[in-house]
Amino acid sequence: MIKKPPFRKLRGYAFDPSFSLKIDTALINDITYKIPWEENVEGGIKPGPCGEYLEVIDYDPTVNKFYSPVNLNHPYILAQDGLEPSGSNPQFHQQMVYAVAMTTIKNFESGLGRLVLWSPHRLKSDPQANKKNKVETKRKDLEEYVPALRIYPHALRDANAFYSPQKKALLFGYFSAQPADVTLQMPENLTFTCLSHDIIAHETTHAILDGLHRKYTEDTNPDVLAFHEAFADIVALFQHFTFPEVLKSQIAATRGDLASQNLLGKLAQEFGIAIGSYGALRDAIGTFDNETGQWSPKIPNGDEYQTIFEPHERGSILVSAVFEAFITLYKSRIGDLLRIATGGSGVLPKGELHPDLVNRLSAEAAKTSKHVLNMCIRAIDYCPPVDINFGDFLRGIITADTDLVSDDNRDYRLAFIDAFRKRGIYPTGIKHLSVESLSYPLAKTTEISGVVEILVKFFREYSSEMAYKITRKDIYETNKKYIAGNYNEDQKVYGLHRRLSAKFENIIGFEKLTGLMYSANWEALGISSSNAYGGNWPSFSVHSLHLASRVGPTGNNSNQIIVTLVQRTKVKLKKDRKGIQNLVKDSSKDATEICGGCTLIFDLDSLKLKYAISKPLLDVEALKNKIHQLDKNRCMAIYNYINEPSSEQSRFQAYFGMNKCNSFNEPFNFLHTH
Amino acid sequence: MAKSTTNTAKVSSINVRMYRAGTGDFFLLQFKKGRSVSFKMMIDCGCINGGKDDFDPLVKDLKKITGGTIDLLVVSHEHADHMNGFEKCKDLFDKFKFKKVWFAWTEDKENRFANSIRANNSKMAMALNSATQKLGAYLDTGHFDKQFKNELKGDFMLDGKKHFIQSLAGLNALNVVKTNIPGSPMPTMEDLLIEYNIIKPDTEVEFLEPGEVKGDFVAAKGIKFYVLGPPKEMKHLSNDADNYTKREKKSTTEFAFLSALAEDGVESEASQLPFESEYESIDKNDPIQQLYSNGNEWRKIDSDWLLGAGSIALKLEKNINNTSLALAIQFEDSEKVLLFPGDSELDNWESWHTGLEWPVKINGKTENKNAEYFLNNTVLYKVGHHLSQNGTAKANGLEMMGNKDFAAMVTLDFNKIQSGWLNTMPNDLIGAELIRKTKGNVFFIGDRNKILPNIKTKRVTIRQAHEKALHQANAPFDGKPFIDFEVKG
Repeated sequence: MIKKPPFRKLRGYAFDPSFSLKIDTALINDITYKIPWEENVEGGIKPGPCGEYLEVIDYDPTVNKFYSPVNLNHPYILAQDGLEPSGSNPQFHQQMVYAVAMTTIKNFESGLGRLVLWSPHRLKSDPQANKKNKVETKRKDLEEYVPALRIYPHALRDANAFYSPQKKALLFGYFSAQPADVTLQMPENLTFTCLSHDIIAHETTHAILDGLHRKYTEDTNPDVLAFHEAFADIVALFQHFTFPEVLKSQIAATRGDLASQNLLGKLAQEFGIAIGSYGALRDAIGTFDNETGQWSPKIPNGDEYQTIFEPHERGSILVSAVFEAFITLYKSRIGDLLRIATGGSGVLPKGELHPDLVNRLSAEAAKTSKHVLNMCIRAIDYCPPVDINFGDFLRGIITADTDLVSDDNRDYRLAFIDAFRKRGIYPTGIKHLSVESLSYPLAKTTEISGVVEILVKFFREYSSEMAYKITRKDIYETNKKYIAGNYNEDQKVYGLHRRLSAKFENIIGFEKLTGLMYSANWEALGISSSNAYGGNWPSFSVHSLHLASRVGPTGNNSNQIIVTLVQRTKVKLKKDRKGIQNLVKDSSKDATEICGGCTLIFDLDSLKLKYAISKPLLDVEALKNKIHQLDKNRCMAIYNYINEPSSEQSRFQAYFGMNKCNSFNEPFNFLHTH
Repeated sequence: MAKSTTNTAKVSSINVRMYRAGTGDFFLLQFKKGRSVSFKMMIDCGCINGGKDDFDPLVKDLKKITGGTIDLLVVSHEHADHMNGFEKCKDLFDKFKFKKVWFAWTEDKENRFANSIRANNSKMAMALNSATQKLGAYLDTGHFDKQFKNELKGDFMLDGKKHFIQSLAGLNALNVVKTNIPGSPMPTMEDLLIEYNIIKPDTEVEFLEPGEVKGDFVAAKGIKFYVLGPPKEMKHLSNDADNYTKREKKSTTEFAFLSALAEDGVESEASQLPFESEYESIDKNDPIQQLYSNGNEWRKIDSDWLLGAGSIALKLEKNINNTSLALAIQFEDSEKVLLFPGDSELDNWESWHTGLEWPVKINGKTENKNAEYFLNNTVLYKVGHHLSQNGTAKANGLEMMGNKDFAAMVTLDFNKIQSGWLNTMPNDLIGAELIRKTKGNVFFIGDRNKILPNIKTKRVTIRQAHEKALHQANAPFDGKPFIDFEVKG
């Protein structure tokens, strides 16, 4: 019997078509993407391509035409590793978006230790249906499983592409371009965003991140949207660097200067500048001298984070910080190779570099990229579910890495801390910058140990059930069942939401950990009530429940349960009798909604609640004296940020955008348009 | 005898009357020798969304005070909020006599470069109009209601689409000419004013270029007109400050977008299509077509591409603003300047400082002076682009102003404005700086009590004395159809 092939090979551009027109880059522009052989869908992958994760629909609304879908299982196509790269064949465009998006998905799955799920489609509740199910579910929001992300490769006539959280779709545009170098292309040549590796990876990352943290599209501080952008760019950049063949010819072509960041920095930026605003995110890495054409790294001055607020520029601070960490690591990894190659002198002999050395150097660069990519992806599970800032991300990186890699013999963590510090990115509430203090402390659970034990048992049930779930739909349904519960008599499960409501009622220990309200009198703080399960509880939601199984470098396994909780309050700023401005509960339509949230990480092996990473709604200090009040600093900061006119918005945003309360209008379209 | 002395005497003051139709410019400048008016200059006549009723009483006042003779008319640029009054009050203006009309060189039909700029703008205007209408039709036929009907926060999504389309319509409304024969340049403002019967056979028309000096009006002796803009270089007229320059430059004409919206005519259908027809899927039963078409309304993308008109609209608005005729009107003796930049945006401002010099007669000697000199001597500034962020340059503009008699006039009115503009007008930083530099001598077309709170944001401070002075200066005109401000020579 013939075994199923592990990969499907698909040819594509490593960069975008313009690189194929230059003789010195044409060779490296064609690469073969290896993506998983999809068979989960009935009958395998369908024309489109339509697979388990993606459905490519090539409909061009600007001319009201459909283009015939590519059939990747056609023998001719299988026999030649996919269609040949071509700008003029829309079927190749379909193949390209599929190949790059799948590559991105696979990278996330290996970093996260679980399958990627898209953010669910959320529907208005049906008041009739809710009445009928009053006692049973009483969920305010209806959610629908979204099996496949839609990709429209030719949706816009604009130098733009965006992820639509509303449509669960990627929309790619095309536009006419005038090349800066007129010898390269004919003027008014059509340029397709769906043929650029970095753009596809960037947009796919937006979609995956939305599936992990759907509140990250809400603009509650200057970092949130900048983070979405920067993270998408980081993934695109380092995914690009994981292809050694891309780096090889550049490394071979460069004489000397191998250890410095010039080569890779220049490449990083060249990848990015293909189209429009995508390049802007890498501006902080370095600059090109227009006259000499020389590239030089930009030296951070330390106050970037305090002074730059425009989302792309701010995002570029994060991109450059991660890039610097990468360079530090790469340099340390190739130190020995350079010593061997130069006999310790540091001076390379004349002539071409030895091909073995080129291979080894590019392999090290690709390996370092993969590590950096994994660290960044893993960190996402260690971030709070709402209101993220760059400091939270740094802490996420450090904690996640400490958790999985006990022996940091190459000082990966220090490299990150150092690069962030140089740009003035300091997490709040940290006394000094060190791996120990940046890593989240273990959760103090003595007060609630009994309840935690019950929860962990429940999670073990969940995880054993998950062991038999293969399809993503099963996983989604099981997650949902364990969150919301199943109250059919035959297989009754009390959901996590109900358990948390009941078990933690009036338990201050849990409130201290999460910063969320579980005590009586929640309504005074603007938190609405829920009468789910026939009780009367403070309303909160379990945003996600995941089982993450990861394997560390030493073969160690980690099995963790990740739960995110979100609670919201509706407030308005009012003067009290003493004339002091205060946030007061308000249920009117123009009240401001402020969310608190917490990510809980349970360790299934040690049966402990390991971390509680919180953006508190409650004032945690006051809780020590059993006083329940809103965290005034945090809530005020968000309130002011949302309600004050923004000086940093683009002209496009100012004319066409809604205020920050309305995050349901294609936030990425706005971010990408200037 | 009396007549000859008036002819040889110099203008001693200029009375600037700012008509209050709404957001938009409509000015009468009466040049006076002593107490008698010797020369009447009119600048623009417009108000966004203005109807005949808004203009009628004002034009009647203009008729009464000028006797229907205007020595010099300046129309700064082709936007409705600067020129729709001419059309709305055609019947009243019919009885006026305009001796001379000035336009920017960009309106000169004999200038090939100007024609190509207008042809480009015309394409964009038509595409914008077409997109606005298509989106409006989607809105009217309930396309979005249907799409968002079942979505959580569907009302937020609908609000967003409505706001977007309204803002687009607002920008579209700025354009005086929205449809045209494809491929041909927009009609010039001269064409339009002939059509409105403002320019009559005996009206003299001139097109001005930056660097020019005008001042041969006997009735306006002692006054010189210096032309600052619009710039003559493309890079200032259509400045795409973006990242495309590194490897690829986005087409300035937005060819791809425009061709999809081209109504009919020059572009053949095939040239609009990105791919050869062999790749088209024509079988309606193709599973992919079925997947798109059947159900899942919420995932459809039919209208999304039209929102790309948003960036075209902003680009076109800027392009046309930058064709504003920018004038410095100067008293020869005192060197005081009245600055009327139209709606010049930053690129236009910047171009004044690119080595241009103007011959200025000072104490009988001719000296070459640069733009900074005129800005230094400005005593009245008609604030550019209704006090938006991009209507007043900082280093190359406001920072150079601040004469001790400095005053400013703002053609902004919250009662008559496009909703999308409220986010950019007024700009708090520029507003506060103007109030500081004029010590409160800032005049507003609209209700200052509504505009001021939007200037007094947290990041600026305004001295109480200045605010008080501002109220005192404006108060005498409360309820009046105009504001008069006298500049002494």
